[in-house]
Amino acid sequence: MRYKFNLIFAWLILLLIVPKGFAQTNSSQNKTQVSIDEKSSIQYDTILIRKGWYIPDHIKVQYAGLIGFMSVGAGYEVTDRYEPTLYYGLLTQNFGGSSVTVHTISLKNSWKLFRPGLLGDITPKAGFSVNLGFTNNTFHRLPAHYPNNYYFQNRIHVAPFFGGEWKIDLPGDGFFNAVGLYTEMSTLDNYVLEFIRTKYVTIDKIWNLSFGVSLYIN
Amino acid sequence: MNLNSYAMWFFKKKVHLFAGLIFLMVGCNEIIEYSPYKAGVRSPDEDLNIKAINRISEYSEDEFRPFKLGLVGDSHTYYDYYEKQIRQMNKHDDIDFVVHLGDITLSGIYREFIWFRDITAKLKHPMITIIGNHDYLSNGEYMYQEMFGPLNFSMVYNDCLLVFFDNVIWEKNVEDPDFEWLESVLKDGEDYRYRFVFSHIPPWSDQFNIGNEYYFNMLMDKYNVDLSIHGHTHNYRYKQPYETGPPYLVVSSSQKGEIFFLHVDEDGFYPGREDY
Repeated sequence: MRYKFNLIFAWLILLLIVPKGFAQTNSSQNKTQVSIDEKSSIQYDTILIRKGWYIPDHIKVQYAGLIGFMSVGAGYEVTDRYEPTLYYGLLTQNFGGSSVTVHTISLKNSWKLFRPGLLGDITPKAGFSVNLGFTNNTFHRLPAHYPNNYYFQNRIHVAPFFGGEWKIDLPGDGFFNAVGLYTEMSTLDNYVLEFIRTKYVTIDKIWNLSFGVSLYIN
Repeated sequence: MNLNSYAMWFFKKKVHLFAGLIFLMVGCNEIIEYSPYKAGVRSPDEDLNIKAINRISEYSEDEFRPFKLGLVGDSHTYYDYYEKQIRQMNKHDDIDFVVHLGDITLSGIYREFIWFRDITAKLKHPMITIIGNHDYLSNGEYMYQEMFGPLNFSMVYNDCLLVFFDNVIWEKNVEDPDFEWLESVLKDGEDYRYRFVFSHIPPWSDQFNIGNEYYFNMLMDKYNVDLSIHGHTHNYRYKQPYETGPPYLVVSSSQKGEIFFLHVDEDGFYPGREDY
């Protein structure tokens, strides 16, 4: 059972990495074309600058949402619809009131639900995050002193979410070309399981709210 | 106005977003959750065991007086069954208080504690909750201490010594239970009418090795403990498993559909079991 799930996680991560790799090779191919374009564009008094792959497409700062009190993330727009973002979130005594410090790494896979621009500057989004928690008594593989299958792994959690973003274009030609305010409702695999398993846990008991700001890099 | 343009109009008016947010914030309880691993609770939910003990000690007497305890255990995420247990407990007005024998969660994560608190709040009687092995997972150990209080504690009720002992081993990275603490409490308890010890794991169960099993029963025997009460194995048991030492009572898990009592009388004590 555990290994089966691990296999699924491995596949998920693979699925995320592969299109990203393709995206990078595409952009490097574009680069060579751009240099040709640049020549012609100089004639029209414009200079085209492609940013390197190491500069993300967007930076996000988020409050709450299962990955810490505050979290920061960076990500790419792999396709028009799909944008993965890698977050680091922190929860401590002073930031969030937890007597134990929790570090979380989260890969948020977000899809725009409609064609970009269809609903103006509001973009509904949904997807799921894969969260890795680093704190006490979380393990990916069960420590050796337990019998087999005594517990299920509890370091990785999958958190589905839905939400929306209000994107505002920034004037000028600065480093950031747009800023977005977003809010999301998310839940956790364990909570969904209890929602399915029990009558007590109703749909309104499993969701939580988060807010965030996206900065889009030119 | 077709559906598409209506949708566009709807999304362009941002007012509904804020209205929706406010609705959600009012409608859902605990709407902001920082992490499933959070170990912290807000104001009325901290130190619930200490509050319960204060409430119980108000009607505790110096002289012995017969009393009746309610016992439940291993509610995990069997929330529907646990709710039934609480409802059944509420039908008994003669219970002095209820003891939960640990494993209040499945994975020791934040909302499981919150859901446990929400269901337990419906109980009319005070409840003392001890920690189980599942409650140690993630940051459950620290969440438990925020929500309920210390891991090991004891109280005197109607001239009886009640000891609540954390005997989880594996989840503390194979650390032996704090037998020194247990001994120090039991040493001072010789003069009370009865001595009852509540702990999650029965000594013959998986987490105890031979040495710990022997030592646990030896302490029970040495200090004349009258009854040792446990959960963990999910099945009811009442027996005297060792040649010396007290009888052991194990209460079943919530989904078995039964609640347990401990009747303590002038001339002895006996467990009660009620299914519904």
